[in-house]
Amino acid sequence: MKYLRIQDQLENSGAAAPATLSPSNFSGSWLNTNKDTPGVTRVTCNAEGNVLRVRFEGNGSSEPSEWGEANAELLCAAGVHGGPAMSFVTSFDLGFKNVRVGANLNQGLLVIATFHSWQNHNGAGRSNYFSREFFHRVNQS
Amino acid sequence: MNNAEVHEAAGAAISVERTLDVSALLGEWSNTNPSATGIVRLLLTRAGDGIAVRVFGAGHSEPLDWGETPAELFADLPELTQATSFTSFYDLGFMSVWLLVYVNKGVLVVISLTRFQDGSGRSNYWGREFFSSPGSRFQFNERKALAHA
Repeated sequence: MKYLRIQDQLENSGAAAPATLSPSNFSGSWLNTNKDTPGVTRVTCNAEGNVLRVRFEGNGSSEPSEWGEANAELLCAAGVHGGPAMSFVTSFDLGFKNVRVGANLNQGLLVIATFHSWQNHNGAGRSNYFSREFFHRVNQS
Repeated sequence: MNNAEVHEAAGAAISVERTLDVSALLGEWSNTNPSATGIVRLLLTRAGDGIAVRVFGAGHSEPLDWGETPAELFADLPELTQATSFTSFYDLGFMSVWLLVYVNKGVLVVISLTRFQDGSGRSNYWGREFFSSPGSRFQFNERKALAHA
């Protein structure tokens, strides 16, 4: 079994079985903990089997009010031994910019890092930029 | 406001590709945990207007060299020009790894998302590790900021 980090080794390689990751822990609506954010205001996650669909909404000023929906490109567990998905990567093509998203669950919060790349010379002298924001789950009661 | 309107608000009249200042990222970054079993070291070197990333993973006898990969650079805000974060992707055959990297208070935070492609049964997994660099200008800037606080 090849590895490039010690932690990538399985102690019992004979017990290896195809790993499936359930994204159900992400399901639901999440609101930005910063009500005055100029960025993403709400994230909605829908898990169907092993597929996670993610929808972003912004405040409509510096970010679009509706980003549309994207499937998680990669779901990850907390370790090489598997378990429920606690992180994902996806991206949104908004036309004027592409946004790569990395998200993870941490102590009940959804932490989202966004990497914004202007496309088609639409940066207008602005830099590609990074943001990290925190979201709490919307009470369903 | 829809996508097109936000685009207009961003000011699409002038199209200038911006090159970011990478100087504060350059150098060798070591894991703050000397017993790390994940990534032990990153070497960030200048490559054209950008940087090249070289990762060294923890090995039993010596660090394991992943080779170099390019990075896409980002600033903290669209108005700023200092690169403070980047993304990189490694396809190493048996596994592929996304690196999402940013600086927080002088520390380089490296999030890695790993997908195994070798049928070994190993799970895709997420990791976060912290790195410091003795010569980091981010640390200098932080001290300067504290001195003026």
